[in-house]
Amino acid sequence: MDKSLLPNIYEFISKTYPFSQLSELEKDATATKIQITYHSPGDVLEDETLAGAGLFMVRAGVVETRYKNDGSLRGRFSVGDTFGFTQMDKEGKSDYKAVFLENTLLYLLPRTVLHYLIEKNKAVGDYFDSKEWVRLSSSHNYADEISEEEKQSSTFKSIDSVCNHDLAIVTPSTSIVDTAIKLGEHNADMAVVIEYDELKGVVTKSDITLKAVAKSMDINSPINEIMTRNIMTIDANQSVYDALEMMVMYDIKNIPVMKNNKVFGTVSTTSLLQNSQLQTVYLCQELQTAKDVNKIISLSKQKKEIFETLVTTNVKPHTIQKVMSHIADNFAQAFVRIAEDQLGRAPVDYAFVAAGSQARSEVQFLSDQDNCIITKTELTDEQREYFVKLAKFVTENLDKCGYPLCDGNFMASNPRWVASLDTWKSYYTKWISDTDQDAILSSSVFLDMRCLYGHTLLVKQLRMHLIETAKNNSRFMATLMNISSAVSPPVGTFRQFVLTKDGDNKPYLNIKKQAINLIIEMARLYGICAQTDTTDTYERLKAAVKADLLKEEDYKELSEAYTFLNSVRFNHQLKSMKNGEKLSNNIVPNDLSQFERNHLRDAFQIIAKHQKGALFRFSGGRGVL
Amino acid sequence: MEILKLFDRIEKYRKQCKKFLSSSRCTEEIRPFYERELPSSDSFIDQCKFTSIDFETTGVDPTDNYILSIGGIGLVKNSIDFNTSFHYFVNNSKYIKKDSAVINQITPEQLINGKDPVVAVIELLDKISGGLVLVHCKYIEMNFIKKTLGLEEKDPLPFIVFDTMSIEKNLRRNEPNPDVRLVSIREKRGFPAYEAHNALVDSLATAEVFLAQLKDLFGNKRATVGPVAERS
Repeated sequence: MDKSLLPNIYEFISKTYPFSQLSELEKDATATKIQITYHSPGDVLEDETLAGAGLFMVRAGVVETRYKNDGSLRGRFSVGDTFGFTQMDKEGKSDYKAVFLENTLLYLLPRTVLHYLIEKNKAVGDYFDSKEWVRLSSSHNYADEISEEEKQSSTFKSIDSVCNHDLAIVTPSTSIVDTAIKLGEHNADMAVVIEYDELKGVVTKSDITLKAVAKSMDINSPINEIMTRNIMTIDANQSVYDALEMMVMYDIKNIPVMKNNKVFGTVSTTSLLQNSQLQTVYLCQELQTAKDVNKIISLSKQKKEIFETLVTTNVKPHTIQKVMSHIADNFAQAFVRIAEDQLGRAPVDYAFVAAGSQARSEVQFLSDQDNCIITKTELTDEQREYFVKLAKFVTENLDKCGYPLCDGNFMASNPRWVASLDTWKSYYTKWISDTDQDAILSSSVFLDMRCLYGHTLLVKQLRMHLIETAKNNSRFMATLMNISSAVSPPVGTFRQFVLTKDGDNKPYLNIKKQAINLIIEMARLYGICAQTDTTDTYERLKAAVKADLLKEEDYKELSEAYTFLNSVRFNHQLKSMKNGEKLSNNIVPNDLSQFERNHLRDAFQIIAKHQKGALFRFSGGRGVL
Repeated sequence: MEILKLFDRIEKYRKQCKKFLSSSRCTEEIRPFYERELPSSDSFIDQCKFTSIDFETTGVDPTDNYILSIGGIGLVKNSIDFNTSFHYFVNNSKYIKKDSAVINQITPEQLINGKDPVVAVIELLDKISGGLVLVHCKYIEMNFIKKTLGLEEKDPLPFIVFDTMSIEKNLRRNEPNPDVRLVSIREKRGFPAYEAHNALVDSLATAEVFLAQLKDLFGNKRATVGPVAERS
């Protein structure tokens, strides 16, 4: 059929994701197979009129779907929205029914046509996968994810494409002086030490300067006396971003690249120079040596640029959070270090600890600071005075760097949160046995801890204490889960509103409170239950799979939902940033694309489903409040 | 019941069609269409062959105007089925006034490649006769068909006409001067506007309006032919 004859149908299809991805021929096939029906308020589609039908598209009017088992609201749909595909391959009974709220003009794309399109077109196929997490995973194509297809394509930046093959290769018995000559010949910063095809270690220019020359070593000694053993390597198939992450996390400038367990080349900060991501590496290096407070504060402006680059270059949200957290860590560490310089050595061993989102390495642009101090022994008044000064210095300066002071005063500058290991243990014991308002608030922040500076072991001991005490206290776990599930994710969006479970329309979505936090809270409980020490949300969920608390499929669902929600959040923050607006976690539905709306619905459904599951596991399905 | 049928408009029309078989104007070409059984007033609409059609013409009066194109789409079980849609141009190029072609955005080339008018109308009758036919403002399509086939105005056509314009007037009989143009009806019912106009789009637009009218007339009861024909 000549498409000029049906411009409206074509236009509608072209605007409705994923049909917008169809070829002209496929659009033809689609447009000519549509069936149109009309329904008035109170009309119902269910069972044989819904199951096995196909995909319904609302052309005008409003329809809502409700689950048949408990009558709860499943979604509400207006112009441009679609429903029905989960029922498409059912026969007879449908899981939900569609009730029309207004006079509605409905387009139906019959299942046979949809099946044909799913078969022919990958975008349509993924979009209509029966599993929510597959649909969600089809929503992104992050720069740091490599698919098999992309590996083949020349445009994808694997390390392969940036790594340097002009290597300075020496053996363990090569002398220091010959190694230096080799480095000069290859104009390299690092030589690889290889014996029988096996990588034994690496030597950098600064190793030769600092370990040999500065210590008046015999320059004819074998290089293995100063080389670094147990080195980090990276596989040639990994992405540039992996290399970057490694450089940022471990503060290294050169990494040997391996292929089939053999040295293939090296990748260095210089070889990544074209990549603006490098800014992070340099920022952190500067922070690690900075001595001037004002200088550090001026460096904090770069945070914004880095965040913008990460979001714009489509790096996956998990990496963005890790990088932003690492930067936050470096700022805090710099201030603690300077405070120690100014105040003198600490009177007792201690750990300066990140709590909340920073502890989970989930810092984003809006994160405020949550931190505390754990000391090895009880403090005298005089000793306490030292830590109060230190904490005040650190928290106030972090505030100047764009890490706002915490509203709830969950900071090391609050005397309550500077305490000995034993006191901290007693805090936990109290919170766990006595779940009042204060306990719930405090534990929501301090259940996640990560050492930023000082004695890591103190934090580890405290966390082990928590896990031991909490996992045996089912009431504590039940309370936390009940509180978390008191917030339900929205059902979806409807016109310019966010539709809640009770059918209320809210003007905006708080993507943090109404969605992201719900996953974090579940993951935390699963983490405790699985007795894992990690604070990372993904890792906690993985640990829960290992401990048989969750299925692999559950992990995929929750992690895809979590990833998608964060990417929506970051993209909207980036947009606000570019428009010079105030950043927030509130998203107005009008700012969401149809694409985001549909996927958010999936993410919400995943959360709601797992809340039910977690509620059952942790509180036996009944409320204890 | 038999007595009632004497006053039944559809029954009368069916008889008219049968009678027309003996008319001299009933050529061999169109005879088979009149031999087809027509629905009766208590037939269920969802069991009838049912087509929405629209003509693009150079003007409203068939005496000095011509058909430019014919479009149509089927209604199957109260649902509009794109699979059944059709559209073709009619070769009336020798009569076409330049300005009317501009209005309809049909180029002379399209018309020259179109079907011969009589062939086009016969083909259309083959698709729609013996069933229900939906139009918006029935006089245009009816009169152009009759003129093309050399029929007189009083002659019946071998299908039962539903007219969305008359139905709308009837539904809004309490309003003084209801605006019953297709565009206005659609707007009033919150239907998306169709920016482009051609015979197929308009037949579709008409069919969508009819589905809504059917709800107004019958609610959730199964619709029969009689009450709709009464209002058409």
